[in-house]
Amino acid sequence: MFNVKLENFEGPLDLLLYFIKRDKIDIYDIPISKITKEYIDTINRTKKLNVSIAGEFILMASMLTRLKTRMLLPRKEDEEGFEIDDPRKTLVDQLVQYKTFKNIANQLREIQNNNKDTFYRPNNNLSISDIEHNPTEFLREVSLFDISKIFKEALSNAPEDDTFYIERQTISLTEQRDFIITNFDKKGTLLLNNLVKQLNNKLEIIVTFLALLEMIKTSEIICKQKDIFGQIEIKLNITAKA
Amino acid sequence: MNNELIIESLLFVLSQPLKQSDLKKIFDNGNTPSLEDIVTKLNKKYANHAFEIKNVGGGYMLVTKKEFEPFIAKILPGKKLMLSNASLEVLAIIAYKQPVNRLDIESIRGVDCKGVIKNLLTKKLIRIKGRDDSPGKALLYCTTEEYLKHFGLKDLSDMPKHNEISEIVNSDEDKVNSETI
Repeated sequence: MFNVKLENFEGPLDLLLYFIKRDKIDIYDIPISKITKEYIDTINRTKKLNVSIAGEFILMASMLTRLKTRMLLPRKEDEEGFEIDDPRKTLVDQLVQYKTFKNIANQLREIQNNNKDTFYRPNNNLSISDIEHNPTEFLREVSLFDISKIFKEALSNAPEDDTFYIERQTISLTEQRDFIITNFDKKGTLLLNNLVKQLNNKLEIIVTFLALLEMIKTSEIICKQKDIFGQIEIKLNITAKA
Repeated sequence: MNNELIIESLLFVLSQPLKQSDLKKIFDNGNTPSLEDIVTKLNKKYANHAFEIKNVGGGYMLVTKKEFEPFIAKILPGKKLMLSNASLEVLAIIAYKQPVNRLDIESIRGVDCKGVIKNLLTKKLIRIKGRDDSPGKALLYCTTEEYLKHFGLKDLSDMPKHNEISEIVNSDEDKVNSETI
């Protein structure tokens, strides 16, 4: 067995293609179980060498394992008994596509090598657009990338504004008192729970609670709790009003 | 003045491809000569010269002939840019799928391509063409004139053809032995 070194591969797809090529596997009929074992073994061996493995390799390992389990499940067949919905299809498509581009990349390398011995006239900072002095052509050689780079630099050089404005929320006792009163039913009772449910934030809860205490103090209302941990019932004190 | 000599002077001065459309700026209307014809004539003249005119990056450029590389390399020892496997793969994908966003490139290669793309951008082999309509408005990348120059390609159609590629894929040795699970 060869010693496969992970760092020699461009990624998990590259590694899988290597296995496929080495073992002369039909790319359209990959023995998932075998290739998964091989793949995971390779990753584990690399782990032992204390090399950190890129997340992509781990992701592919989990995808292969999932594929392996799906291969065990029965699949639909068409009238002629051919299996449809081959779970491997996505992986195969991906491999074929990657292989195509890997081949193009190899051809590009050859083209690059063929061209490496020809030399162009060196850059002399003059370009054809200068002939016209057209102001709209001024930015022709500047790419969006250049502009965004300059913009980012400008932003990071800009003086920082370190003041924060916090808007103060004002909720008054009288407001909450009126709010409590509008919530009583016809009989003049109200459950504390129902009241609190309508409040949106801490400050509102606190002020409403203060208003309640204030109203108890002035005998406007009476609070009752029948059982321990039971509902607290608020009643309008009709006698006090009179 | 002889048109041939005028164009020769332009080719000598320029460090970017000279295009037929550029000639309009130089010659009177209706008198614009065919750049292609003149290049052919000039190249015949250059048979015994160390340089020639090459069709590259959508136009014509003056380049040295290959056989002089060993001598040039001695006086210009700076190595010419040679791209890594990863860069070539990303370039191949961008060249055929342009404009394309990073996610698509990464889903084909199955690995993160952020670093490679950044590198190619700084080398001006690719550029940002705009943004797509996807949520997040991803940046779209495409190849540049510099890319054609680097590979000495006439234009994008000068790249290996798609069916040429699929032929290679099919003729590969991997359909020999098939095993099933």
